[in-house]
Amino acid sequence: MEELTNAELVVRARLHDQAAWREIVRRHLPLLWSAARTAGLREADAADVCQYTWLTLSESLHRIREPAKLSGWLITTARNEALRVRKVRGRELPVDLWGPPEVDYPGPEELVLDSERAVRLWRAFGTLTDQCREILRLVAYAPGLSYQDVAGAVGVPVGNLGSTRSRCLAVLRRRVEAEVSV
Amino acid sequence: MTPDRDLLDDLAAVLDQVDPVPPHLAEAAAFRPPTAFVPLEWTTDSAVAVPAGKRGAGGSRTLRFTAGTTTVDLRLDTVDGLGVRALGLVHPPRGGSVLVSWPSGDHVADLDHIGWFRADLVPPGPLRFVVRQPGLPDLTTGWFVQ
Repeated sequence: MEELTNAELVVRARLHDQAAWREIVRRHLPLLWSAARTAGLREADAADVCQYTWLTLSESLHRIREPAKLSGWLITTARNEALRVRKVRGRELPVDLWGPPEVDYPGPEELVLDSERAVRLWRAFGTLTDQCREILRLVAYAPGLSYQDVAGAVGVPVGNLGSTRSRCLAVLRRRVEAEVSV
Repeated sequence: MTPDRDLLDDLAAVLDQVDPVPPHLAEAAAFRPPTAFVPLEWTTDSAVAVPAGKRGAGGSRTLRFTAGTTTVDLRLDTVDGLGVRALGLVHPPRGGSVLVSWPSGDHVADLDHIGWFRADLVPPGPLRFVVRQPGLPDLTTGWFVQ
């Protein structure tokens, strides 16, 4: 199944091919999780958004006009619902998972990281803008994602995505290296 | 491998450690055969836009859906630690029932002669409402997260 394209998987899943469906889930779950978490949802809500997205895909599988754009469709569906859930939960205290990390002592995230470089990378990532974090998280998990899919999912013009992505990566690299010299 | 790709791979590895996908999510993503329900159109959702003159009353979320001449109004209240209480009005009243579904179960609530129905304490998370009226196609809100 791993060698099949998304379009081929959709065609098979429409015929209730369970293996094709599982491959779609395997390929996209980290992306949906990232989309929901980057939208600022806590874990339980992000899990609900992932489940919602699969339920909606089950129901919409026959209506997807361009199966080759499955990845973009899934990420956009998850992101839109995540933003809606964030508004529903608006009265609760926000969970600032991606806020600036504490500088003086390690946060809980840093305790699970197994190398100094990983900690530096995590700290540097935390200093990026929301948009940069969103873009880099998607392209980190899905190298094959088209510019069009990423641009559509994060809401930037497709013509700007390449330069924005490069700028975000350059800033990340510079800040990882700056952490070394501190 | 380009230096950019190396950095992105390192980032993916860090994210996998700091914020891993919960393992149960893959199992929860089972395929469900599509239904023949007719989708209702979302008209308003207080989560997205609070109607003029109203300021988010308590924790209630109000939604309106329409299809042809049918209107479905929902008021959802999340009761901390217990679940979601749903109160709804289907107009015009024609009798029938409303099927409230969540990923692991469902509940049927009868529509009274005015068109009201209620469902007490369904689980929070993805929900779907299906309006079943005699002689008419079943109408669905589609899934959404509450």
